[in-house]
Amino acid sequence: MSNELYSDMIVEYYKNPVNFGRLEPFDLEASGGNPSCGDQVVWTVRVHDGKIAEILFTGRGCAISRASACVLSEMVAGKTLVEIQSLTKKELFDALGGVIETRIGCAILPLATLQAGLSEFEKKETGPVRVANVRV
Amino acid sequence: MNVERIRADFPILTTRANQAPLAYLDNAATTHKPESVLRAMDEYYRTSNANPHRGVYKLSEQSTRQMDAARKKIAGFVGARAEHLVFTKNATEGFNLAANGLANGILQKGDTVLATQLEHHANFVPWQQLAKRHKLKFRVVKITPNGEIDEADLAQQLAQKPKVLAISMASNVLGALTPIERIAKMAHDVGTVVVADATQAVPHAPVRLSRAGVDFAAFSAHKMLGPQGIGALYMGGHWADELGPFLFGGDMIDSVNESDTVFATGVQKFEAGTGNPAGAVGFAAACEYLSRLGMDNVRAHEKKMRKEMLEALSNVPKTEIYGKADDALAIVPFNVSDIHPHDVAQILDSFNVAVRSGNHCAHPLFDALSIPGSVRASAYVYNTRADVEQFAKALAQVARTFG
Repeated sequence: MSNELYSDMIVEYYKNPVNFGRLEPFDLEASGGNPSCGDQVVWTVRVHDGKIAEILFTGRGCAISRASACVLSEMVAGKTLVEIQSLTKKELFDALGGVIETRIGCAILPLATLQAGLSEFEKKETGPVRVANVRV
Repeated sequence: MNVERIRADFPILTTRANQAPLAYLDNAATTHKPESVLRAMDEYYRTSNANPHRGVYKLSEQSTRQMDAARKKIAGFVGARAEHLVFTKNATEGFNLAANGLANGILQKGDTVLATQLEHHANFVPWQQLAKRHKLKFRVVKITPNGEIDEADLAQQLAQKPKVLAISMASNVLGALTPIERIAKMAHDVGTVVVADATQAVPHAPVRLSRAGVDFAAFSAHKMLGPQGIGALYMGGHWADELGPFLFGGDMIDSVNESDTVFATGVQKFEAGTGNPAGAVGFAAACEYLSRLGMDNVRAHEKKMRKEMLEALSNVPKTEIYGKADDALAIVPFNVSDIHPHDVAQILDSFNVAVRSGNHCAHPLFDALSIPGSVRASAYVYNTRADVEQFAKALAQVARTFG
């Protein structure tokens, strides 16, 4: 009985998530969810010089969405907002070791939420910016 | 009931994945089809296939007879008469039919429509939205912490004399059976129309709709060994005459001229357009199959399955099971620790055990229980002890992976 989906990495991130928590104060708070399965993610971000200075996430969700948020938080550290907006699903899925079709929504949620939040952030002149209810 | 023999009637149950047979425990979602149902539908298309009621040639006559016979068989299975049974696409369409029909003349602005926290969205959303469109009041009866209808709250709500009560006969999440006869009487005592969701009751327990005292009841073939794409709406008493049509077009008319239309009488008024005669034939074959098993036997088998599933779950640490009504159907919602239901279901899938995860088309119920979702295992006539053992084995792996 194989459990390729639940690799050691995914299970480890589930039990000991990295960058888990809330930043106060923050420049951007972006929250998104998937009501059909109950996955939720809330990013809090501090931006400096157009780059991610600090980033944390909280939320309740399945192991895939949590691992995805962990991996993503590591991928975006120090990156410019432009670079993050061009991050693709494929790059994220590859970093996760592949995601089966039925769980794509779970894996995309943290990425879609962060990108939607950053998109709003760039439009605003002053902060802090709050973006809620992002849906995949 | 010889379950091994029954299992052999279902071709899909011979599929294997990861060297394991399919332990299908998602029957509350949809059920598999026995050979007799598949054959009946295939034969219809090979030898009958014609639009019923339309032609004078033999094929059409044959098709008409088969559809009438199917209607009679299905109605008989639920203790009703053929003239009280409307064919629909599924139960959801039935509820929409009832809601729209009642709104066209019987419900007035300011009237109250009552649903419950137990309802599947099919018998909740149509009423909620109807209330918005027609400026009615929409109220929701609460459940007890045990997941049963709070009859004190129900009595209080009924005292306001709502026009309609939308109520589940058996919960698709918790499996609990509603005391429908008693509740229908409470409702009728204050002049409330009862629209019952029979989708889980009819497949899993002996049901006599004419005796249940409900005005309307909807159920779907695919939840009871029949095909997807066909269901039935029971309309008791004179409702077929009193209610206006929902869908308009061919077949539901008596005559049409440029200025107006005279509708057909009886249940025909509610079956617009070409229906699903092959589906109806399959639906009837499913009722025949269940009749031969005997619904008392089906119920007894499921009681055993429920007991075994609960036992399997009791061996998994930190498991919470919701709704522990004693006499419930073999539908068991649960969570393992704080592991997301999707993750549990995924690991079970790797053992070829099929269960559902999420909120099972019952958001208000999960809000009332204050949980975001659950896993749900549900058994039917072809499930065996071996299925539950596979279920138990897979659950042990869940504990090992995330423990």
